[in-house]
Amino acid sequence: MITLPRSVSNAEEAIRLAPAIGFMEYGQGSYLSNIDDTGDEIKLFLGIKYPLLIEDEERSIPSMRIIPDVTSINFKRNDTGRFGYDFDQYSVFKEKLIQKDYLFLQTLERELIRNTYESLSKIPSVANTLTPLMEISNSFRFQEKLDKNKVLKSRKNQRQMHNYIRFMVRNDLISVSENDIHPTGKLLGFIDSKDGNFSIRLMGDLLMRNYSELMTFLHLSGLKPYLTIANSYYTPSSEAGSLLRVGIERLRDYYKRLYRTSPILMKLRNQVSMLSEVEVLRIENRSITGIEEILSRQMGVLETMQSS
Amino acid sequence: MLKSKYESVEQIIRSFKYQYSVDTCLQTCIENILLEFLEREKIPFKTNKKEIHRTLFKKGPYGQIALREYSSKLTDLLKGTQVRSIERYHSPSLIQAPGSIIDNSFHLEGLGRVCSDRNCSFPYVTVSGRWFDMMGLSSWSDPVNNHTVIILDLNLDEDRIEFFDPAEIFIKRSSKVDVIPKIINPDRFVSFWDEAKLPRLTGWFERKSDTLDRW
Repeated sequence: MITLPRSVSNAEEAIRLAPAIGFMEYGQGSYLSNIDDTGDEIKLFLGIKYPLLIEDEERSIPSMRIIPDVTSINFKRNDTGRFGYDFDQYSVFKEKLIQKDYLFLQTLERELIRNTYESLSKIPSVANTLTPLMEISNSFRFQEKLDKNKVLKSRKNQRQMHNYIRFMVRNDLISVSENDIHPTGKLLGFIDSKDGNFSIRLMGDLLMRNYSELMTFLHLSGLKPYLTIANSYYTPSSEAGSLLRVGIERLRDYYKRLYRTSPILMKLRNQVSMLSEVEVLRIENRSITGIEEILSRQMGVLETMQSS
Repeated sequence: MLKSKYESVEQIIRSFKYQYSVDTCLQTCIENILLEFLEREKIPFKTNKKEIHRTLFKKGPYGQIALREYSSKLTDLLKGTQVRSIERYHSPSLIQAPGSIIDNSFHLEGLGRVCSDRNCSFPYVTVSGRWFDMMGLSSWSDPVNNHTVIILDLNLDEDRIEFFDPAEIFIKRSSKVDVIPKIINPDRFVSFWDEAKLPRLTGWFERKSDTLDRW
């Protein structure tokens, strides 16, 4: 087995040693992504780079996947004036990598929402999931306050309704005092606004600002598939740097790679069609392609994440 | 100078596998050389091939395999066979490991010796990502994107090294080069070998020669 020195005498040596530690402990794809040198302590961040081959119906496009700053090797000056170092075990590193990757995925999804919320909220089943929010909001067109108990009783699943109310309070749309629900200025502003469709504006605002909360807190089953499908198309496209032209089965493969589950083809065909109706994707000659403008924004996000 | 059993490079490659995914070059190389070695020298081996495959390809996220991890696992698997896994690296630029300066140096001659020694498997070497430039895949040509290939034959008099690239299957699909090289000039090879993340990293399997049949 190859032996590496247990200590180094300066930052320069540490920087030369770091890739070797990365290679031995974490594998071929690790690289030195950032350096934080404070004199007595040097933190060297390692990330992962690995090759990808993205294929569509016409081309194979080689590309690189880059995840910076997954873990760090910490060099500390000891009594003898040299720098000793410690680093994460492989298993810890693995966990951190999975977490970081998940964060990447979420950031990309969130950006996709930011760029497509107007279109997404036109899809009937997405609109349906937000119906309880709309019911509460639209009530204030006719009255000044609502009885909380009555609102809770309007649905079978009271806990879910309770979540919706809590969610609206958190987002400064309503306020609850004892048993009454009052609209806030923000919500009334939405209702009174003359430009555009109120429901789409409200949903867009919610989707854009509170994406992760909506997902975990409200379990928006209606929205999730559309978003993940759109993301399964745009993430590989951004990695390849151009709009891919794929069949439905290949899109399913992309989906599998990102989300580790396989959607049912029948449903997928329908969902892709809905997405193409609202101009998030396009269907041409039985294959799926995307919108240039969305792609360039997603590519921008990916680039920022990879260089950080 | 091929190992005595073989007449041509093609004959060796026939038993080799190509990578099944783009991030598994190291594992594929190790599996290829190990199985070829065990088969060629008819070394009795308790663990079956599937077990070796599982050990090597037990994927971390993104096909990551740590050198330390695989090495200790394989040593366990190879117990009782006299076969051990060996890794060497030589780096003029890296800090020298204490007390093992000579041990760690590894040159073309050493590589040639491993290639032709019957008691060794074929060696794998890591090369810098610039390797892919030569293959017409500039998108993969990142200095930190290491690649691993197997060296099959080394002839310094004729200035040629024959190699096996497990990623050839991907290169064919996407490359802008018409004829994919299978031979490389030694000096050019050293430049790739030196530039890799662990410069001049070479690994192979070796059978201890101090067995009873020596007497």
